[in-house]
Amino acid sequence: MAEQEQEKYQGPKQRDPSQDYVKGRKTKEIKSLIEQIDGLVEKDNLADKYRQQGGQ
Amino acid sequence: MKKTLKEAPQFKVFSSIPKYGRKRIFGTENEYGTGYILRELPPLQFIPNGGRIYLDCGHVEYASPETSNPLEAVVFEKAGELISRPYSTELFKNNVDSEGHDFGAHENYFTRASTYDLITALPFFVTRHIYAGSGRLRNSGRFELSQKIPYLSRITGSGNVHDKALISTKQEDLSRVAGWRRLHLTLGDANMCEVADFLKLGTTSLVLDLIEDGLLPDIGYKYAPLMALDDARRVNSSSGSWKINGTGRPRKAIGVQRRYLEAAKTHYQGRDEITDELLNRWEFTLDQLDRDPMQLVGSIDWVTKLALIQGFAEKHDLPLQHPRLRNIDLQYHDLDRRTSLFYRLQESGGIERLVSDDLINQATKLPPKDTRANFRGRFVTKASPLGDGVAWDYCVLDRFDPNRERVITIPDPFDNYDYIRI
Repeated sequence: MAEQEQEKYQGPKQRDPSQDYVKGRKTKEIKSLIEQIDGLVEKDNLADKYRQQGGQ
Repeated sequence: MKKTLKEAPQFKVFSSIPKYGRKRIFGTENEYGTGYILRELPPLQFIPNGGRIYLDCGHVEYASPETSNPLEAVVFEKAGELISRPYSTELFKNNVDSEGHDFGAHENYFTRASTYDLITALPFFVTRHIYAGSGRLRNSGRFELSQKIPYLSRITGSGNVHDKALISTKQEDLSRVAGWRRLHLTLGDANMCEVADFLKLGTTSLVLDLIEDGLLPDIGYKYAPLMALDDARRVNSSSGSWKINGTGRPRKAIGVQRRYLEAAKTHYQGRDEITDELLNRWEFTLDQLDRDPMQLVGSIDWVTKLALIQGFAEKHDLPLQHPRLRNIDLQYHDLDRRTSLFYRLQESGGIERLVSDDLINQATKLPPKDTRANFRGRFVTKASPLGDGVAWDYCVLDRFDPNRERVITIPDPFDNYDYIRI
């Protein structure tokens, strides 16, 4: 494993609970993700044929 | 007062493992799904990282080495995906096949909590899959948060094959440390997202901390087995209201999780870097689940999978019962990086990382430093390249020479036994 961090931990950074997060941030990302996987999704019924050997 | 909008908090991507402030041992076991197995593995094959790979009921199964914190547990679980992949033409890190056979993604925690203690935390286990579930699209088009929850039929029990339980009572300690035992949990899903895996392992460990310290909040949950299973299943619907009834009146699963979060923050915030990262991510995740779960695409498996299925269905004008959408469900879990939807997304930056690839690659070859897995890994590398003569709690040196044979016991998982020379 990598070396353990030697720096002393300084404690948590508090976030302000009165502030909200930006909404809708993911919408564009999801569309991009669909484009990424579009060509990879199998056209036949792969999932329906998938049977675990010796499945419990 | 109008709230100010701001960017989501920047979480850490760890390239090393900081010190953890709590004594605990973690381990995971993954039974990978496959229709084919190319290479036969000898039984009980231990490997240089201190873990084990073997065939179990037709599965390629990887058991991670003992790790000492939830972050390191994620690293070694992800390393298992790389180690296991060459053993079959296909491997899926999921929990169910098309005919409804289910298989496991088990969690192990070394704890001082008894089974009775764990039952007091039942509301936590009944609701944990709102962030730990990996998602499943049924043939009917219904989408569920967890693959494993529908297969549970008891609250407590020791069954792995039949009568699977929400809280496992299986006793197979594999170690000898007074006051401690191995808790073997079988209710969880196999996670692809590092963040979801970290939350699953880390929040469960924090709840164990609360139990052991006598600080667990009382949610007022009744011990009514059928009701608890009903609650777990009710929370399992992506379109449901995620309410449980075991508290006498309907309560939101997110609110229940917040009670545990608040207790953990009160008592453990500031303890160490890993705990603070965990608490921040837990709070952020619950906030987002409350507001808009789809904001968690890339960090929570069921959300990511649902977004892909819905987006693909919309683009191609497919009903949710269409077989290609079930392909997305399966291919998300593919460990072949050429065909895996999850890894395609990760390579394109669509998946939130928790740990670096360097850490994961190291963990395929080197054991954790501060648990007994360190000794086991050294032993396999130096004295037993095929991993024979090795067990979880002992190793046999020169086992084919009766004059030199020596059994080295490693009963304490907290000890790395670095003082024993091989």
